Amino acid sequence: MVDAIRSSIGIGPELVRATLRGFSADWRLNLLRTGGAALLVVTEAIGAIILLHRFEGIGGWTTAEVLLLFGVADAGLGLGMLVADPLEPPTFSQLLRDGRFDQVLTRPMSPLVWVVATDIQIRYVGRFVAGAIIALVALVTSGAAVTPAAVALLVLATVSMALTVVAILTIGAAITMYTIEGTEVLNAFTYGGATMAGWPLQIYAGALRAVFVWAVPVGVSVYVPVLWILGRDGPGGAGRDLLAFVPVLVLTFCVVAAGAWRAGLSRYTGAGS
Amino acid sequence: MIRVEHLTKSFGKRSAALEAVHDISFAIEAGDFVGYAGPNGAGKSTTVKMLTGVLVPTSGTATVCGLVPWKDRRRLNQRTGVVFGQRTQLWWDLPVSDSFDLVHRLYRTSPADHRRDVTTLVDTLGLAPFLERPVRALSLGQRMRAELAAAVLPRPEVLFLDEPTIGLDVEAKAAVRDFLAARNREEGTTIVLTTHDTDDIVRLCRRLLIIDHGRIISDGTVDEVRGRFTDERRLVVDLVRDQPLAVPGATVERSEGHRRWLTFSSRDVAAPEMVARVLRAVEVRDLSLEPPDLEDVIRRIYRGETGGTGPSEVR
Repeated sequence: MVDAIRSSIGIGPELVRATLRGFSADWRLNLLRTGGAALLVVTEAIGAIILLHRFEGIGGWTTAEVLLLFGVADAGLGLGMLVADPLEPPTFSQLLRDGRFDQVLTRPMSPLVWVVATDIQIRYVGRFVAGAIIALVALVTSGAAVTPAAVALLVLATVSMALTVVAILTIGAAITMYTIEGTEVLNAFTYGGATMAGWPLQIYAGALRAVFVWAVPVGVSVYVPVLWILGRDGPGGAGRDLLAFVPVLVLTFCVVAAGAWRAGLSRYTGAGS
Repeated sequence: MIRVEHLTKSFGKRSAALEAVHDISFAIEAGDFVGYAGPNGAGKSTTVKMLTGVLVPTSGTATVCGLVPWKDRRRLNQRTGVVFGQRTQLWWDLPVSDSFDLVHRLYRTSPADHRRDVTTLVDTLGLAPFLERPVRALSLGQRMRAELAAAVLPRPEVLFLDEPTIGLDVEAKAAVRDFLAARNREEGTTIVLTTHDTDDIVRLCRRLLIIDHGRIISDGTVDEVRGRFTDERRLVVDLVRDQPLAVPGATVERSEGHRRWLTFSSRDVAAPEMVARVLRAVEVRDLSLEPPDLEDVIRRIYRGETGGTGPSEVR
């Protein structure tokens, strides 16, 4: 078992380090990109604050409470994309079309780990950091008790969100293995899902809410832990009693994604010569 | 070492499936050096991809080093090496030596063996001048030598090479060929070489498999294949004036300015007689007679000729 995992991960950490060394050559450019990604999140947050200020909160939530969701959703998306950006349909499709993926498959390690580790996009650190800072500021200003439990819940929410994003993109990559041409359909669940998770789930219609709770656990990942931090409860079907289900739903979704990846590999027909 | 039985790979849906490889079978013994030739789209790459576990076949079986590639891909990859002439297996932004280090970690070779192998390879392939340079800054010839070193560092039992000499200058080609021949001779590495370069085949391979339209159409030693059309001759004629040339028993294969390439069968018309016929027909400045080269033979095999028969239409 340990050996199987070791051979799957292979030289993942060394590959990441090698990729980062490649970045250090262009550190100015990468710093600029990272700053740009952070600025984007801050701009979105300011937009949300202006909107919320005008309507004095939404669904009974104060501006600070909504921003907590917003920050966690963005931190989770940033963390997920930092890992899984190379699986995004256009990038992954290019990898397939120029035959580099065929080469990856001739190496004695997990192709998924390889693809991820050799193309880390450092700029997502910007999104993660900006999201995390917004979440922490929002936590303090919301008046909720800043306890170790609250921080643990924030971590749970961020990691759950990140894992869900990675799983969505893994499923997308599996589809790309079959279609070769990348399709952007999955963006509805990654960027769309993160935008959605940035707002209290009670404002959405029941059917949509159910999809983002039970099928693609983007919504529930962020929302339910935040309910506990704020001492609130959500609507039926997305209430605080779901907390124990969050890791279960997220991990189940990851298992489904791993299955999709394996199915994709077995149906992969290559591209070009 | 490699056993292939009724291997078939079709792409696309069942109704409109395209069979890239159709029911091929062959066996390659340990230590063999085999050329795998065929026109573009014949199924060469598809075969190699199935044997390295990249693609899962539609039907049939194969084993490499006793393993079924697509079922035991990772364990097999540990024991085989693959080099693609047109793509790099090295780390583009890192120095060559860093790539070697990553290969060492990836294949978990023993540190002592690794150090010794690197020293030997740097020496035999002349890598020292560019060992610390990033791969992107290397010339094609330098890069190819580094690729070969990286491919053999894990000490593979089987080496699959796809066009390893493509685009190389004469000197680099010779270096690559010498290295491969030595590797096969001294380490007993089984080598499967996919190439369009018949010089590679003549200089390196003992056996030649030819595939076309997904089927193996020829399998034999390189000498056997070359001997298939020994009666074919080619006469290159330089005319004094640019004029049409028609000689009974010969076919004008090519025509360029004042030069004509004629092919004929020495069994139908003896070479001196053919020369006499040409001299009678036109005014000649120069002429030379050439035996068939492997490229001609392969071309005729693609065309479906079986060899040993009389000359046929040559376009």
